Amino acid sequence: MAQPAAPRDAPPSVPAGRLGGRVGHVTFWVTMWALALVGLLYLLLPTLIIVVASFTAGEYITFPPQGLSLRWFARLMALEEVRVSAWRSLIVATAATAVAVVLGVAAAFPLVRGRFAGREALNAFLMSPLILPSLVYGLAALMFVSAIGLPLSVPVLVLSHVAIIVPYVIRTTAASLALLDPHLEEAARSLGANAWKTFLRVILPNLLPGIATGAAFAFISSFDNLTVSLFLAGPRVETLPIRLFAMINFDFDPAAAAISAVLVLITFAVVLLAHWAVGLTRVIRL
Amino acid sequence: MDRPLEPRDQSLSTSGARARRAVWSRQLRLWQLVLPATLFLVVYFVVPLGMLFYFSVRAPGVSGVTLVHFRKLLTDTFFLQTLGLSVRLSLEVTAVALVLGFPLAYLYTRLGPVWRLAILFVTLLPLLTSAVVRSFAWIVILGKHGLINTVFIGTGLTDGPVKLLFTLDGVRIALAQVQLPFMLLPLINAMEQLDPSLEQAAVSLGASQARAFFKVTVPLSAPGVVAGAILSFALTISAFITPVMVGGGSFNVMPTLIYQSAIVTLDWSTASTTALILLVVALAVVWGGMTLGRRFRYGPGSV
Repeated sequence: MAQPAAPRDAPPSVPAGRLGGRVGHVTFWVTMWALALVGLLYLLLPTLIIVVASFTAGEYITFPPQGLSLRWFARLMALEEVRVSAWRSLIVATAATAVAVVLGVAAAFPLVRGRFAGREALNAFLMSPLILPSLVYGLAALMFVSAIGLPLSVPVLVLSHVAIIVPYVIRTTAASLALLDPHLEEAARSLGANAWKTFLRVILPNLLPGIATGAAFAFISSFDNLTVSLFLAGPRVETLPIRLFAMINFDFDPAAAAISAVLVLITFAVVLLAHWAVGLTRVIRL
Repeated sequence: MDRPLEPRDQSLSTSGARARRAVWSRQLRLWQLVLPATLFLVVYFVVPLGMLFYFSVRAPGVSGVTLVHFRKLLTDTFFLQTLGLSVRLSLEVTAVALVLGFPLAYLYTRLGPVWRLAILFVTLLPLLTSAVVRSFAWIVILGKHGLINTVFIGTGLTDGPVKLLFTLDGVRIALAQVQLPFMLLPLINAMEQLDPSLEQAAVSLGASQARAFFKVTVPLSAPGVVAGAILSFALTISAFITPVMVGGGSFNVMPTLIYQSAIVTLDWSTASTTALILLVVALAVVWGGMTLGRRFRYGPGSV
């Protein structure tokens, strides 16, 4: 057993009676469980409620819902702007994720395997978009784009999303790479595989779960991004989060709940993918 | 790591110089791989931030660098009130997240794999859910005919609806939920490093469970608390969507000021200056927290 550290601090003047100790024990665990269950419920409640509320048969979104129906999902299909903006968001997120995967996977190798001065600093630099408030980045990107005279368009939006999602791919790929046994590569090389073959047949398959998790997180943060898009999407490049934001705040359209339920479903799929690929207990250490 | 490989590549040659050159060229190739991402971020991340800085220190009719925008904002009562509110709100939200997050993280380390998975799932789902969707859910929960008021009136706790939506309290409630996952993950990571037998030892030596918890587990989790608190504070003070949607414009925080200056009044200098002040405050807290964290790690709490 490890060296007991606490009794050093404990003044000897607190005699815990046998009964008092038992009561204290129960009180302690009851308090812990009560707070933890409040925490769990608190975390889960909003997601649960918006999904259930989206099935309401009523004229506006309430909880509990007034009867159940799929009418707001049906209305969703009829809304032209929703379809257009959802399609645009899908294109932006897919393109941004693809670029981020290429840039991020390549960058992860030198960051893990390289031996050069300033590696840590470079790593910190490449992670910095995670720390900067995305609203501040949105403002800065808007100033940049207008200064060089680019019109607000889908490619501009894609590039700005790449900047904020590339750290996810670098992080998960680097974490997988750090766990990869270098002997595997040595074995492949010594058995005659060249560098490319080693990369494609040995390294890449082993990194795939990490890359997939990073790509999934990157995709969902681009697809759900509102703050950067608010600055960079002119009126003609509206994305789904912007449409949703407007529907909730200005149009009071109950179909917003149906969109929300679909977005929750997509997030659910991303979490499942991450669990299937690397396991949630490892995801949280990435 | 890749060093032992090289001599084998040069299987026909035993020359050390050639092997060294091979190592060197390999490092060069590795170097090149990081270039695209770095260059991209320099152009699309560093240069824009440079422009933000540029706009905050330039003014029409003034040549060179000027601090006139900073002086104007930092002597403005409304601005200072907003800054104060942002800081206070972030501290309160961080405190709530800590009180609810700590017991959950503690139980996580003491429960079986099924519970652990459930806790992680419930943590990661809201973390990855769109902020617009989460804020919308809180509008449904906090509204006049929302869940809370239905429960309150139904149980006779209050006679009429309680106003929560479009108030600071409503935003506090919603933001604490948004930040809870960011508090939980560092806490879980820190507490998993602890040896549960430390607490058992304290109990078997006569400390009550609560005493063992507060005297052993809490001090040893300090690095996780600091990491979670830094993250939660920095994210709350820069949160935009939840204050706008749940607050409904009933008050301003720093991010809403930035958005208004940039998009509504088109005053880029004020927007940039506000953004930089926000960054400085957030970075000061991160830096202060990290300094505090280092003290904890090597201080009297460490074993």
